[in-house]
Amino acid sequence: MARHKPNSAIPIPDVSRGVPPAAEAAGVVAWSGTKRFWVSVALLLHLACVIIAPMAVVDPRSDIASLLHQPVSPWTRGLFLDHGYRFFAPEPGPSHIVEYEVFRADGSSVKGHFPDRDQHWPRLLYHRWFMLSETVFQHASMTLDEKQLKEWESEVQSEIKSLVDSDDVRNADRVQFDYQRAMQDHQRAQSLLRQLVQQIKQDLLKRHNGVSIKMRLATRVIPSLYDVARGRKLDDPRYLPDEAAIELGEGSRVTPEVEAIAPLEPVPSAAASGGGE
Amino acid sequence: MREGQGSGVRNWLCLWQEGWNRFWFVPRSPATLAVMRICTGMMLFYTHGVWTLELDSFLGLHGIFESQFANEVNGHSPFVWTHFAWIDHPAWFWGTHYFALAVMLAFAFGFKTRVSGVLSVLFAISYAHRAGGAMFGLDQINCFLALYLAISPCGALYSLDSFLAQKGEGANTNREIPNSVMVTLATRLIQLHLCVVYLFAGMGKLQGPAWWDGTAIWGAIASHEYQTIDLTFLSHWPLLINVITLAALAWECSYPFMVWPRLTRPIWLLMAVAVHLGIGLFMGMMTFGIIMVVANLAFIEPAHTSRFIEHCVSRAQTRVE
Repeated sequence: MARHKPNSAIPIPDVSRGVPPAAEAAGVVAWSGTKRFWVSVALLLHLACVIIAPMAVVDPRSDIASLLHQPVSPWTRGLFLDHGYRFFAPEPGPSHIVEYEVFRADGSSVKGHFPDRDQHWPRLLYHRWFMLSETVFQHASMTLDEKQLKEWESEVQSEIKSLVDSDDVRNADRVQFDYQRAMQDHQRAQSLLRQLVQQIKQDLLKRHNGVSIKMRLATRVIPSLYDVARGRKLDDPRYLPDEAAIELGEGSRVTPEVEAIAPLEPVPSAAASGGGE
Repeated sequence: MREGQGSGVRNWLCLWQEGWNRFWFVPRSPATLAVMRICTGMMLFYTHGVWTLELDSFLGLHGIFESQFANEVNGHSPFVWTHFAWIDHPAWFWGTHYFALAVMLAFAFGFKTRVSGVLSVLFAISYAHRAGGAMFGLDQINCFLALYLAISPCGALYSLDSFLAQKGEGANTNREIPNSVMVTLATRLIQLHLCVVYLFAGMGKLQGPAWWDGTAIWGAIASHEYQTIDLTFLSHWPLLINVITLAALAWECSYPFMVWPRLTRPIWLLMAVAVHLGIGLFMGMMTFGIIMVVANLAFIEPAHTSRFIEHCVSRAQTRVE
């Protein structure tokens, strides 16, 4: 086995042979001052990026964090450092399951859902499917139906009008800005949901050799501690309430060539189905 | 008086500069990072190896996260790159996947570590950019560990590279592995990044009422989709659930501050092992649990790592003899 010895050029104590970790205490510093200066600048910039990203990519976020994030996002996004690190935060919530029924040409059908621990193994693969169903929910929960959109727009317009009437132009601008940003998020989520659901349907159709498919997103709520103490099981159907389910529509199999010219099927919004958060 | 104040500020700045230099620029032995390289490399290999089972479905040319959708998710940003976008033939698609697996395995074993390290992190990021909707904490930690390990000479020890170099120099030669500033830089970056992860994870939890009323752990225990070992008997012990919840919250929020002093470091690291292996065992996220424990290894002094490895090697040799 190779032995560690201090670099002969620099008088560094050997920390590898059972000597107490004294290198830091000895304060023997390598590299020239100029090199240290430029490396320090790079380190500070990188660490600033590491701190700004989680402040800017998860709601609620401040304007200053969003502003600072813009110039650094090529770095953080390019290196996959753009995360909020909100593990089980703000608190563990309900889980979401995609339920589907695939219809075959011979009239038979197959029902399934994901994530499915009987089907998806090893556990890491199960988690991939689990994250997929959570992503579907994430996009679905950000979409509104036409009626709600109109109601929202009229609310915002009346708020802006009352602010302008009371000469509070600054806040009126602010409300308008927030509305536009939220509208962009909504439109993006709607488009992403439509595409994602379409891709999942095509995959399931191919997997089960089907011609058409029906899909919905079910929500399993967290049972109360007292219910479980009284003997209710976690997989009790009462924790998968129908009213919380989001219909993801029907679909039929398309080949990649047809898909290129055919428009994607519309997906009913989360709010229209009475679900979402 | 002013002169005194000026020299006081100067002294204070000098102390800061000294501290800064000691923190970042004192060379270290690569022992700990070498062990982390083996663990991270194996985890990268396993994580991406599992994709093989559903590669076409998730990442394939016409898979769920096909190019057009991945582009849209990533806002058509030129910085969110993925090699899958450049591939349009199944043979290349599968060939690249197996090449990526080989590269990750090479990194774990420390073979051509400089090259395999950089390629491993590029592949890991590339996969994550392609299938963002199926990623979770494991992939985030995988990528940042691989990133910092790739800039360090973590292949200088416990690696095929060092074995081959020693062989080349002759069996009786005692190879010298110099301490390196790059090891210190990578170690510090991992430590600080990990503190940022815990800080935001903890602060995020402070927004949730369930972490304040002490029931959040119940939410995790009672999630049917996560559960692997049934802990619902704890429903008869609500106060214990309160204690576990508040202890986990306090540990996570205080980690960035309490992991630095030598006195508290072992306690906070032991709690990290307990929390993460607990999540792994009871919530089925063993991969995530293990990679978090691996990240925490960055706080282990290289001297301790070397001693531990040497102890293991000598015990193994005794058994063989």
